[in-house]
Amino acid sequence: MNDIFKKIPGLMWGSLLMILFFVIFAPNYTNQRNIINILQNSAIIIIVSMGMGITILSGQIDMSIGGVMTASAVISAMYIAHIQEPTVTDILSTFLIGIGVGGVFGFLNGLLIAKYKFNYWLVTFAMMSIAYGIAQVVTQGKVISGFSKSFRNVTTFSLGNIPMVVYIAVLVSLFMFFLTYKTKFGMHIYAVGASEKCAAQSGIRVDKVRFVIYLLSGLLSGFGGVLLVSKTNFASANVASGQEFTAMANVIIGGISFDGGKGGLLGAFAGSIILTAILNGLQLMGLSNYWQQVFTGIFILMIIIIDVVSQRVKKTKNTRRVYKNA
Amino acid sequence: MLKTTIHKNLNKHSRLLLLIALFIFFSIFTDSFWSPTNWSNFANIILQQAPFTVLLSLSMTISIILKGFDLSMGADIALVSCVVGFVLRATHSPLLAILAAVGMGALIGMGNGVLITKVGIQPFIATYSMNWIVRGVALVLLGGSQIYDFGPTFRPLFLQSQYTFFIISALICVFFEFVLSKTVFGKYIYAVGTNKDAAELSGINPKFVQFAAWTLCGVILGIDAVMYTANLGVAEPVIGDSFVMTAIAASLIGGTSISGGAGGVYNAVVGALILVVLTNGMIHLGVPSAWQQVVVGCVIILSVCFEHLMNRKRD
Repeated sequence: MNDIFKKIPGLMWGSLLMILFFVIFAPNYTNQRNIINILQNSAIIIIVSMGMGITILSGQIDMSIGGVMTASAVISAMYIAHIQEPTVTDILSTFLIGIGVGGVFGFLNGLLIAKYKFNYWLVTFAMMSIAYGIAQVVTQGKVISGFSKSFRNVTTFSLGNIPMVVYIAVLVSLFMFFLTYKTKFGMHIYAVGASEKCAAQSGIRVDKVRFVIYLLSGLLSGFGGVLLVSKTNFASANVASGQEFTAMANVIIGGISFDGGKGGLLGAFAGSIILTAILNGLQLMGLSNYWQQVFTGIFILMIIIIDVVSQRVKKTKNTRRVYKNA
Repeated sequence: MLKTTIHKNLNKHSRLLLLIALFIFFSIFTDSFWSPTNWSNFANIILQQAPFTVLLSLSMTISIILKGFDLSMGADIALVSCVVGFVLRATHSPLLAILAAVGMGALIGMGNGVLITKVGIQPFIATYSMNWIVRGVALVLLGGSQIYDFGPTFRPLFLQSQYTFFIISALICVFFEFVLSKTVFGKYIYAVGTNKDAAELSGINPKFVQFAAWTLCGVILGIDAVMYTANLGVAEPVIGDSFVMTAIAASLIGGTSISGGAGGVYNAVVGALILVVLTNGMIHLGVPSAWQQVVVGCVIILSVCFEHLMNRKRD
């Protein structure tokens, strides 16, 4: 039991303290409806944070997540919007289209970063621009809305009071946990993140691992994009802007550090729910949308600062220990 | 000997050749872009579009020389524009507005500088977080509304002569060319950008150089934002969304190296002109403006690709 407490990253304690504050002061915060609301709102960002989590674990970052989600959302929405009474195959193909769009972007990211060794964040940042641009070209500035009930039911249908999207998020997370904690590929992600050179010298195909990581992140973003359309019942050229920033924050709150190779996706899962809960609390306290953006920005920056400073302190401590022993 | 000189010059000015090629291409294939009898679009590019892009690109180039990318650029412009609007509505004094803009720009630049040098966050993460905070502050200040009331003297000051924007940008470029190539501080910037540890060992304080350079970047953005607001005639918190992409694409296609320590005002200006000519020419070709963002993203990836190939050749 003691071990588990030690494993919870320090940032999470601070965040939990904040949630405690809301529990006491925010009206209706612990309402069953509000808790389900929080779970429902965190579901899609959990899925996307899994992709962000593995990229940060591998020591890099995928900035294209928000853009890819938007492109996938818009393109799949264009497909399903014309169909009045979609059959199961129609809905399945909508999801395949969305995931495919994400896969194409992930593939390109992976190809350019893993194979050709381009600067990772510049490539993903440019890919974000391209994805938003494509979304704009497709929608031509219009909002696509009004989808059939059966398509929306994929995420909003309640099973035992809890909407489907939560179950989907849990399933995807379980799969990702299995992938990172239990498989050889997961070990390789950690190895590449901790030290690319060591990983390469011990026989790991670093480029292959990196390629799969970006491909997975793209696929997850694409999936998140379609779910977003189904859940919010509309799609536009900026429907998911800034999601990569939120995902980054979730991952860092969960104890995965920018240095790579440290932490785990379980943290990203918890971090996503915690950040959503905090934002929900702020909303209940009556903070306007604009203030929420300022607050989120400052909160995330604080998290990053704490993370960077604590990593540095740890490093200097370790060097001192080495010197003492020598 | 002659061959190597030609080769060297070709390499150095390959971007200028690209600019000229693009210009000729659009002149031939569209009727309205440029012809010996039709200078109106050319004047529009040089006097109305390029001055702003050149300053954005210059600011980005300086940050790239220091191995950092300024992703807070678009939000900076938006916030400074809002501050300018507030000051003008309250006082109607252009001088105060300009001072406030430069001050605000410098302040954001310093914020970036502190996060990068004192705290030690990677530049792109630090400035990306700043981007969200600064944009949020701009939205809180104006809350989705706009300011039109600039008083009687502010806009005429800039719009009286159509050459004002061009002259201001040109002066700033000349000043920074001087700073970067003729002063000790300029040499320090290149030294820190090339190799921070080596620079520190040779007695340079890299943290101070970085901090000062980031502040200067902020000042350039402040000036750019004043001109942009004067030209647009309205202060609103949502402008400048695509500026970061444009600036990165302009700097990189101008030949500034992403590995730091190389590039300069020449690259920034040529890159900005290439991008402006490209986006303007595309509109004259009849490509919908929605495609612009896609093209800008592709330009970034192609420049990275190009630099990569050149490096491999050299090795």
